[in-house]
This record gives sequence, structure tokens and C-alpha cells, in this order.
Amino acid sequence: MKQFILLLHEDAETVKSLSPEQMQQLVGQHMQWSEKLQQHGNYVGGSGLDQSGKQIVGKDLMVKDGPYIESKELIGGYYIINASDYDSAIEIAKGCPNHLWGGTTEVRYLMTAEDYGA
Amino acid sequence: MAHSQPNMGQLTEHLFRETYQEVFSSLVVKYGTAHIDLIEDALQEAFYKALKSWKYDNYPENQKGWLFTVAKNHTINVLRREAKSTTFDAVNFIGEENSIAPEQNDQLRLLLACSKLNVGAQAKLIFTLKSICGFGVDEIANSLQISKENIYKQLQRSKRKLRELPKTYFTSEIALKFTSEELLYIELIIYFMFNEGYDSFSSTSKKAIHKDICLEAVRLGKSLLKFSDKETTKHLLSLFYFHMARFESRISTDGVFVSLREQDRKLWDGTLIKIGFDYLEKPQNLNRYYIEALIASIHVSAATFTQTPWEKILKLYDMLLSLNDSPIIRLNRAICLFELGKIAAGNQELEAVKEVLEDSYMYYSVSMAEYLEDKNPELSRFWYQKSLNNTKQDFRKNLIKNKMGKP
Repeated sequence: MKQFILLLHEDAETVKSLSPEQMQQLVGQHMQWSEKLQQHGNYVGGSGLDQSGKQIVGKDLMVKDGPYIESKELIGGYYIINASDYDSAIEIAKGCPNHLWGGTTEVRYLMTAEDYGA
Repeated sequence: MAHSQPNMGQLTEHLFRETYQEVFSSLVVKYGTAHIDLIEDALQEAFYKALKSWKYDNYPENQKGWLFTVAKNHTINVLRREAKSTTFDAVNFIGEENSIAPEQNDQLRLLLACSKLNVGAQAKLIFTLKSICGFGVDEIANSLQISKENIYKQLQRSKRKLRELPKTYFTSEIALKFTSEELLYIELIIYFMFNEGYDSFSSTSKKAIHKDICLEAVRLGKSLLKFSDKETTKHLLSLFYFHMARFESRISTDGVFVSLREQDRKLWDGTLIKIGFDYLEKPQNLNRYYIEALIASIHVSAATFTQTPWEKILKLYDMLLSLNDSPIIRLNRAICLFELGKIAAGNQELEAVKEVLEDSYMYYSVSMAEYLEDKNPELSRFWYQKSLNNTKQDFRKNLIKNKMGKP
């Protein structure tokens, strides 16, 4: 089994403008999805991310507030999943509730030394 | 705090909407109408934070309390921040973080304030649905069939008017009391609300919201009754329960609405009918809700459509007309006349009402079209066309077209 990280880019403005009922459905869908991943042995971890944060820049360790980027591009959360290969990781990620309101999911392989060893 | 038994992320149904209802009104009463926009943001933030932090195997045991606290703290934090740059006295709010539950009566306080607003009936309905009942703008636009921009505009106006009202409306120290006139206004808002939910015929996939609007109207009616104990409120509830008893029979399994004549009477809910009768007290003063409830009670008691005592119902509609002339009453009156074999009188009533009926009365238009198919084909086509012209949503258009296509 390989591990992949799913970075959930979301449009925070769209998500925040959902009605209470729609919001509850979205919360419930994330819960159900994680639970399903767990049952199939795909779930490793995951969390939502706070909108504000700090950036420590370069050698000088300059601390800045951020990330101040377009709210559409903000990473709102992540999941780490087990999957046999990229294709099955992508198939799993397609079911992520992040997409219900137009989000984008970035699937990245978590590299290990064994992948390149003899 | 971990939830003791993770159960597939099953949150209590409508938990967020219920939270919105309680917390919004409560915070408006606490912090004042000047901060309505902030309070809306605070609730949005609380829901967003729930989305970010609740895990399927770890979410707060008292979810409503959690959301309330987060929304309230957000409000207080912003007010404190503002206090630094303005003369706003935030000290009064410090130390309030610990109060644990919103005040239930605050919704009625807000409803009372809303009934006083110098805005139209639709604006009052929109404000009630959005702010007091926690429906979303999308959901309201879909139900009322008006644009979102229009809804935002009416909401802004209502909020502005609300800020102009005397503070005494929002003071929780003053006991909640209603004058008869105020009660009348509030009942009318609730009545509109129920009809809005009830009149929308819709496919099964989309019906949830409409039924929810009806249930909200019932809930508000019941909390009103706790304070007023007025017969009109009981009659209003009686009417709602008789209507709700027929809810399931009004929509077929394939999502097509079914008119009273075609409904399977075995599907009518006996428990709800009984509650309807419990609320149907003999009135001291005749009022429209009583007569409407009485008519509904006769319908739910009739074994078949043709066995309905139409003469009796016609008399009640005549009484209703003398209290409150409306095209819907005239439509229903026409059906009585048809059933009694008074075809010419029925047609005459329908001709008179044809141009007056509000475009939004979808259920009635389609219902009438179907009813008239064999009695007056020309008028039937008129009603079908009217419903089609007034329908924006494709799934509704298709439902109407399907009905029109039937032999």
C-alpha cells in the first residue's frame, strides 16, 4: 500500500454562503466519507485547516501573516489515504465531498525510500 | 470530547437550521439589531468551523451548544475589536462567554418585531424564513420562485427597518405579551408561511424544503400558543394538522402531485387528523382560520370525494367570503358548485377569478386545470398554460406537461 495526500482546495466564500441545511449536509458527507474510507482501510488521517496562518520565510526566518491568496485557491483541508497506486487514489479522491460545491482536489504521492531502493 | 459512539456522521436532522433559529434570535436580543449583519457572519463562521474541525469519530457531544458558543464568541470578539476604535461599550459583554443556552422566546420576540415592520407581506415572509427560521436564500428563492437578488434586496430593507424599531422590542427583561392586533399579524405571517410550503408541488427529491417550511410554521404556531392561548392560534394549528395529514397522499411515488379527488384516502394520517380535531375548539368569535379548519375537517372525514357534503362546504365558503374575499376561496367555491351540479354558476365564478389569481399559486392552478379537463376543456387549458407560464423550473414544467398530455 502507498500513501497519498489529498489537498482540498476550496472556494471559502462559496462554502461559507451555504445555508445551514446545506452546511450540515456537507459536514455529514465529510464524516460519512471518512468513515467509509476507514472501513475500507484507506483512511490514514485528515483535518480541516484554519484559514489564517503564519509563513516563515527563508534563511532569515522572517515570520509573516498568511497565506493571503485568492480565497478560491485556499487549501481548506487535507486527507491522507492508503491506495495501491495513483489510479486508485484518484478514484477514491473523486468521491471526496470537497467537489460537491466546486472544490479542487490535488492528489500527491507521499514518497518513501523503498520506492527508489533496489 | 469524543462522541461515545461514532455513528456514520449522523447528526440530528436539521440540527444546523435549528441552531440558527435559536442562536440568531438570541444574539439579536442580546446585542441589538445594530449588529444583525455581524451575527449572521458569526453563525456562518460557526458552521464553517464545524466543517473544519468535526471528525467522524470525534465531534462535540453537545453540538448545538458548541455552535452557540463559537458564534457568540465570534460576535463578542468582533465587538471588542470595534470597541477599541469606537465608543462602543464592550465591557458590558465581558464575562458572558459562559452562558450556555440561547433563549427560546427570543424567536417570538423577533417575530413580533417583524410583524411590526413597515414592509410588504412578502418581505415579512422572507425575513421570517431567512432569519427566524434559518432557511437559505437559495432555498427561499426556489420556494417563492423569485430571484436571489430580489430576496437580498428585501432582506436588506427589512433589516434597516428593524434597526429603526424601539429597543424595547428586543429587551428580554420585558415580559413577552401580544395585543390582539399583533397576534393577528403574527398569525398571518405563519399562515402565509404554511401555505408557501404547502402550495409548492414538487418532485420527491425536491419536496423536503417545502415540507420543512410547513413544519416550521407549525412549530412557530405552537410556541405562539404558549404565550397567547388564543382560539385563533388553535384554529390555525387545527387547519395545519388537517392539511399535514394529507401530505403523503399529495405526491405520488413518481413525484407527481395528486389532487384531492384522486388522493388515496388510506394514506391520510389518522393521528394528525385527531390532533387537528383537538385544536378545533368552538370559537367565541367566528374567524377565517376556524372556518378553513372546519372545511378541512369535513374533507378529511368524508369517505370519498363524491360523498363530500358539498352543500355544507359551499355554505362555509360563503361565510369565508364574507370575512375575507380571496381568489383561492372563489376557486374552491366553484368546485363546490360543480359538484352540486350548478355548472353555470361554477363557470361564472371561475371566469371572474381567472385573471385575479396570483401567479404563484401553482398547486391551485394545476389542480384546477386537471379538475376542469372534462367539465370545461377550454378553461382547463387556460389554467395549464397559466401554470406553465409561471413556472421557471424545468422539473415542474415537465410535471405539468405530463399532466397535460394525459388523455
